[in-house]
Amino acid sequence: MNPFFFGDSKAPLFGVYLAPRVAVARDSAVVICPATAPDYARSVDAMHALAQAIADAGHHVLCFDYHATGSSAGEIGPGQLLRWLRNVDTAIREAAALSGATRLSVLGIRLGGLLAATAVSTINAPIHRLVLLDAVVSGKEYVRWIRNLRPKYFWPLTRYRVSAWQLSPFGYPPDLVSSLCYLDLRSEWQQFALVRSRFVCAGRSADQALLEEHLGRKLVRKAAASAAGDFSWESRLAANMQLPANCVIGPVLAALEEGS
Amino acid sequence: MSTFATRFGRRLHLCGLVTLPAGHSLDPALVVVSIGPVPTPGPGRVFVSLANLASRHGMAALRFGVEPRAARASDDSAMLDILDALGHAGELGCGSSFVVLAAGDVARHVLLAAVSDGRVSGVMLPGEPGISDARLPDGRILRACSPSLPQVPDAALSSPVADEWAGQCIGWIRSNVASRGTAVEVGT
Repeated sequence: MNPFFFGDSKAPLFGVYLAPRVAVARDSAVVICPATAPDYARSVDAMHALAQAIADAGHHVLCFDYHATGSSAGEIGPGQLLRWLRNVDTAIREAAALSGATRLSVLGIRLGGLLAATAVSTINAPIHRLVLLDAVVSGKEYVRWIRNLRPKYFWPLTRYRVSAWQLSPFGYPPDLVSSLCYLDLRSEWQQFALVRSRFVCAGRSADQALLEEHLGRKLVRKAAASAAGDFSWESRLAANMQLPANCVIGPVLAALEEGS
Repeated sequence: MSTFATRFGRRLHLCGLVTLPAGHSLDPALVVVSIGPVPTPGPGRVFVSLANLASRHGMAALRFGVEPRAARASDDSAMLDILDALGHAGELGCGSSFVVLAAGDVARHVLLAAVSDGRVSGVMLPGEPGISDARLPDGRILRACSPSLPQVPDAALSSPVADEWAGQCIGWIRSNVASRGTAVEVGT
């Protein structure tokens, strides 16, 4: 495990690189695009467990935080979505340089999945496999869900005299919200990325239904039933629940290594 | 102001992020303890705001995460990790005395570490007023804390909320630690 900063020196991204277990090392690097608030806190433990499992299986792994989130530098501001999409590109290039691997894959979790698919579609990165773990399908629906989360559940914000968006639980500014609404995994220009995508569904969410409706149930790879039975991304009461790592490790590895 | 990542601990199993001020570091340095995930100090953006603000006030800051309770090897391991962090911050030249801020279920471990390490000059346990007079296992009572500080906001992105909370923390250090010398008192 090697924590470090990379990318633009004025606003460096925080990353954690995990070298592959030597005995089974492969010519493969996996970039993990994390979830964002509010899903980040619920999936971050599982993300790191997944990262370790993927490294143990012989892949180079790079986890990173998007600009102005987690431990990366910067402040949320105009053009945020574009920055995040560029961050995915930067992380892919960093992983390629760090590992020397020729086979690059991306694992996107929740909104990270939608961002990864969008980034891969737009930058045409030479990605071998895109694995989408409980990916957000519709940015519009996702924004609607975030708006419905009650601030008081997370933090008593009402005493602050700030803009309305800053009172939302996660402080998404208006232009980020509006640009997120344009992202949709089902849109035509995403098909390029979807061809190389594999889907892993662990928790219950409306996105799963949207995905199955769009792609057909057979194309959606199901994770362990135990996870689907007791974990929901969309339950307000479940905000402190964690995405269980053990039930997604197997399906994620299978998706990454399919055909290799 | 610069931030770099560092690894430390008995098995180099901890990851910390150190933010240094542009000039010389002034005492006390700030050590922020959050609960895992271990590779990063935690998802809260508020600690980035706090470290940056501390830096602007001339204080170095080390933030790191201890393992979640279920993953800890023993009840003592969190306290040992905190002591390791204090030692590492000292080695890095962050300062010669420390204010420790703890979030999550490590409040008791921080208090024990504060008693064990004489360089701790203040302890902040935001949103934990019940711990302001903590009874240690040996019967002593530790008066060390900051019950007036509000709990850590769950701000995952940079926001005025995070900045204001960080400002309150720095203000508490200014008025309770820097001026009084020490906020850690052990009585019976």
